[in-house]
Amino acid sequence: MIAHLRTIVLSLVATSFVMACRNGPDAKASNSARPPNGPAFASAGVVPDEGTVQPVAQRPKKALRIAVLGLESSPFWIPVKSGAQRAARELAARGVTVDWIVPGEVHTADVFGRAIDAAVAKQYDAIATIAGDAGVAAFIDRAVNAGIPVATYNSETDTPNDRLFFVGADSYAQGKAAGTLMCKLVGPTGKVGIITGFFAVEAHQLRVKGFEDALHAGCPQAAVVGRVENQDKAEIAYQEAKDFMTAHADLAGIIAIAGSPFGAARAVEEAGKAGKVHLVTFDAVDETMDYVDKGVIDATIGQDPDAQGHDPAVRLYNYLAGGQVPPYGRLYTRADVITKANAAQYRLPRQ
Amino acid sequence: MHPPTASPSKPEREAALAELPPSGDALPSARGVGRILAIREAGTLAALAVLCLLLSIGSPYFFTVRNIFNVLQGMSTIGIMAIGATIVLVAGGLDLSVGSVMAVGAVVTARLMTYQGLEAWLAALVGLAAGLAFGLVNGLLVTRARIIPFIATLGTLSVGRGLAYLFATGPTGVASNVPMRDAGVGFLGAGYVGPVPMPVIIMLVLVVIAALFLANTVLGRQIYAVGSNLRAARLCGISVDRVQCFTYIVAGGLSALAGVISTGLLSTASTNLGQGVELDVIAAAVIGGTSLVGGEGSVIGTLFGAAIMAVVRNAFVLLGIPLHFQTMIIGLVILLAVGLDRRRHANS
Repeated sequence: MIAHLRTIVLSLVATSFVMACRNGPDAKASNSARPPNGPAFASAGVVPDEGTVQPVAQRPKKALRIAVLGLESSPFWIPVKSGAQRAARELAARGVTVDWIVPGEVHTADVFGRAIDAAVAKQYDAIATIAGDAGVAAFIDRAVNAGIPVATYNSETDTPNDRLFFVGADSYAQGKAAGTLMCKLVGPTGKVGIITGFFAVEAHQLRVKGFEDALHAGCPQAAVVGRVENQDKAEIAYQEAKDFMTAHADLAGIIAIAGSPFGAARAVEEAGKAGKVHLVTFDAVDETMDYVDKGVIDATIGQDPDAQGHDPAVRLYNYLAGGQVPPYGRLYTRADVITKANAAQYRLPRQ
Repeated sequence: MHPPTASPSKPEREAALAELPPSGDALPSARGVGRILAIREAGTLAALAVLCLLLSIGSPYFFTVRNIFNVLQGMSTIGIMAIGATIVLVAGGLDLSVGSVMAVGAVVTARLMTYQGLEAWLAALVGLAAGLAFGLVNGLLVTRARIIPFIATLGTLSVGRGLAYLFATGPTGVASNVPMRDAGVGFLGAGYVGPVPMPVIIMLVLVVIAALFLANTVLGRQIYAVGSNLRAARLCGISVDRVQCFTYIVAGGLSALAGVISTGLLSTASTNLGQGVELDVIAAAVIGGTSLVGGEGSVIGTLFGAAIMAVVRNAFVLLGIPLHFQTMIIGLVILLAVGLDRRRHANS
């Protein structure tokens, strides 16, 4: 047993020594080519070519490789992945390889930081990554210092770093869209319950804040009767929605901020209160869309996940090949209001 | 799994028997068990009663038939899994993988039904079998590979979640929720018999069966003996490994059942089903008086423990408790319940 262990340890040491020797000169060579800065970190806006940005005509000197680091742990990621694959097809004609890489099941810095390091070691020419928390900033800066431009997408930390641009939702604006809508649905004195995803996730709390700000601006007499978290789980959302309806017989609305809102829809449907308890949710996964079609969910707020998968790779290419820099640091994706009337265009192709 | 390595000599056996507590926890008589459990459960029941009393003062909606059934339904999947957790804990084990097994059971069932067109009852049986098999693997890791339960089931916790993703992965390669539209399985999760939700009936029936099993069968008493004093139990001729393995298989099967019920309720098998639920499940057992070092516990106590957790969660919404206090309160309830239990122990 001990002999086995010794062999394993020795071979690991030997392998890392060989790797270090092999990577050494490359790392040094790339240090000299730090890409120039892009737009100001916190500048923000919506661009007209969201989701449709085309690769520039110029061809790079060499065949480029772009890594898109993503997740596959929930159906939300299905359109993101297909967006990245669409970018891969568009860029293949220009000799570019776009690799969709899944480093783990959560969007924390330990997972994505390591993945960024690995992509640098594998000598990708550009990296698009989720930047869920502040810890990832150091990894991004290290990659940029090694000469590799980095874009962030879907979620990003407020901690300033050297990323070129971000493509993703403006959580506060999404919340506001939901709040404005809820005010119209429940009327000036409606009672509303809030089911957030996680208290600790900044994006969820920004949506809650945007929601409450817009609700109170439009309907100052409307009351928020409670705030609970469902930890992105349908079962918990189901229970909480039932509890809200029990505690407040005159409840007029429920907002489900994050993952698995269809649990709340199930509870409203079961109570026979569809249309009486108005339900606004986020994202357009299949289960949610089923309840939109049934009229149980009044509206769900989108964030253009397809563009989040597609645009980073294309814009990184345009930066490398054509020197194009996006107009803002934060390229916010549209907060579409998806209702029964326009649901068909947001539905994912059935699997 | 394997018989005792060598039959113990007479002096060894006598020494072992001397190590067992004189009466009570190990190899007790059915009446003895009843008496001990009655005392143990009384404390948890009193805590639950006080909590309910406070809540009914705080909210006029608490003591309505509808809300009581809401609470019971809300605790049913946790309660069913906690029965398994209690049996594992009593035998001196620990199962952290229950949430993942729940997801595996749910996803396997829904997938076979929706994508493979299998008969619903057969798909549900395969889902349950997957849970039992998972439990067997846990049991073998603990008894054969001699990996301590915490580590063994921490490993299978991750393996199970990965399997759930794998089984749920559609053609896109992204883990998706699997839809499930069968009315029969739907009834298990969302059906009612009169005013009583079906999952509540299943939970209560299982609690009664498990309580009778633990108190009145040889295997049930062997579970207490193994958890109370492993060496003594082995020297008494109890096939310790087999008993331990059995407890993990039960826990696996019950977790998968909870997964199937949840799929029925939501018409969907979510890949994140049961993520992190192991802590609630173990908390329910511990609040109910089950010892983390084995040999002590009852499923009735666990039922009350799960009820306390569910009532506290219900209170968050009914009383509109500010969100910052919610998670803190859950933690304080666990500390309070276990603290009181320790004190009771010290006094007795």
